[in-house]
Amino acid sequence: MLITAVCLLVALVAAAVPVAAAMGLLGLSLTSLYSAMPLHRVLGDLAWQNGSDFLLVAIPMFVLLGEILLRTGIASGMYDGMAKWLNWLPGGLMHSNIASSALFAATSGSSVATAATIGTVALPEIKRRRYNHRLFLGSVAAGGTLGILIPPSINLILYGLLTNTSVPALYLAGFIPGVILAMVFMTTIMVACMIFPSWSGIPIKVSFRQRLAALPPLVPPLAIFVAVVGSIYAGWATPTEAAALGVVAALFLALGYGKLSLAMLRDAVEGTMRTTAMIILIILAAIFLNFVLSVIGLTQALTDFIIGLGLTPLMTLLMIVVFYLILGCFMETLSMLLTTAPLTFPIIVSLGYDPVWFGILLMVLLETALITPPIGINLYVVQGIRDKGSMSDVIIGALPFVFSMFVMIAILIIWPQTALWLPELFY
Amino acid sequence: MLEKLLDASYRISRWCSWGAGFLLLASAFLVTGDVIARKFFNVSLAGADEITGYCFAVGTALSLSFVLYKRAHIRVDVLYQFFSPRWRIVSDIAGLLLLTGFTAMVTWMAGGLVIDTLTHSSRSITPLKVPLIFPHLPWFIGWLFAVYSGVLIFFVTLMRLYRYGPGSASQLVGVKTIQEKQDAT
Repeated sequence: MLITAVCLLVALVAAAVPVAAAMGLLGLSLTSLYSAMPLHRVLGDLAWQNGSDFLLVAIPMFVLLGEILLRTGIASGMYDGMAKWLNWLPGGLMHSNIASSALFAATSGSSVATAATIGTVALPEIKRRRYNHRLFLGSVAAGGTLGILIPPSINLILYGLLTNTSVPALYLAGFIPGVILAMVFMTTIMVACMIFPSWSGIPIKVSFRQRLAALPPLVPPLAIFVAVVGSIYAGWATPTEAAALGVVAALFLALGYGKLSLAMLRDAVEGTMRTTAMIILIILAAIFLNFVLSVIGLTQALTDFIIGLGLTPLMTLLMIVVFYLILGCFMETLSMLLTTAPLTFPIIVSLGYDPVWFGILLMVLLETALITPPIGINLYVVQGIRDKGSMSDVIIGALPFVFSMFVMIAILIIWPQTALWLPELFY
Repeated sequence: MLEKLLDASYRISRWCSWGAGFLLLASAFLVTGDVIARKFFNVSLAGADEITGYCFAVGTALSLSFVLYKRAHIRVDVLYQFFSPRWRIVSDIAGLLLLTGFTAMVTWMAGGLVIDTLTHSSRSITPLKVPLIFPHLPWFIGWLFAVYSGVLIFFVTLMRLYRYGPGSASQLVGVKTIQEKQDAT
């Protein structure tokens, strides 16, 4: 049963069948092969129940928030501000790539949006300031991945939905690891630039007064972060409500920047609905597939099989980490999360690990997947903005940051409290 | 004739996604109003979450066809890149058919739900007691329009394949190139 399911899924995905269809059809095939009950009859109810689920409304809201912010042009002011404050570090603007990605991630739930926004502002600087272009490109691709770890995060909502884990707890848990990972990235850049001083480009010279003048553009993204994440942490709003607050705040911001127009809104909502409908179809297929897998007993069989191997919890965990690292080279992150989390989650929990902690570990693994070739969406995004030169520049440049992520994975495994301290403080 | 139909359907689909998007924007204001009223004035606009949920369901269903026209569905293209143009178009068409098939299955089951709602005149089990046919019907139409769009794109692809070859056909169903993906973000 397990082998049939895996073979079928691999065949469908490898033939480049849209992921939603691949998962849905796998569910339908397994139903007709192994179930006495006509499980496909739940599809209508599942489509309605999940399609109108208030928690899931957070997804289009966060996508819309990102689409609006993208069009307000706050990114360039933010980048400039970060650049002026971090210019003394070896590696100059590359630190600004990471720091402004982290800040943008704090207003956006998507890694692709983060890399695209920061990349557009940052990449022209490579030539102007003679940076090592590979490491610079890598820092943009890697910095962008912070989008799904630092709250608000769309992927954490999906994880929460699939595993019945509290999204506010996950948002609390993601904050400190997000900051640590950004610092690990910056340390990587610093070490690289200390070994190879020629990589660090021509530093910009700024006076303290110029630094102060660069502060105001940093306020709007911080304000949105406080409105969105603060209202969740304070217990005022659910993630969906917080996202709605963020959308309204972003609209006022756009108005303040003089960017609000009907055409701008139309473009923003068009992009939002396209992404949302695409994600929702995958979610529906994934939820249906998971329902089928648990009814026919495959989830249990897999858990029993893994437990039956008699490995220690740590070895099993490491096995799962390696599984994700390999899978991440070939699969897009959203589909990877939705297909695998319902299978790995019961194993992890039965081994005694914390569900919230695993959510954060999984996000770091997904982030790694975003920059590991051949399929690493952020690599494509950065290459796409660059528009010339070889793709391998981005891949090689991102490699040091893949190792940074290994360090982060180790930190999370050795000190689970990095993720769990903040949620335990609140709950 | 088919091309004209495709063009018209695409435009309807785009209008639907705009409508859905503005519905979402309106929900954002409704929910924000609810949070502010609850926090600062201690009154709750009962049912803001319920209405938003309906808007969301209807909006996404009405946007499903737009994803098809925009080729925005995620496909894992590790092997696809190595396919010859002929095999690519085979994979494209098979993918489209399977996706439309799955969508049709959901739509069929959703239809059953709508018929149940009609025969029982169901209302939501909330203080608002909304007659469920109001959200169910446009939601179902969205799904139906997605199936129709899938079938239409299939026939136009076949026609283009026959007349102009794989290049023109893959503009409708192929995996997006990096450049196209970039333009979309």
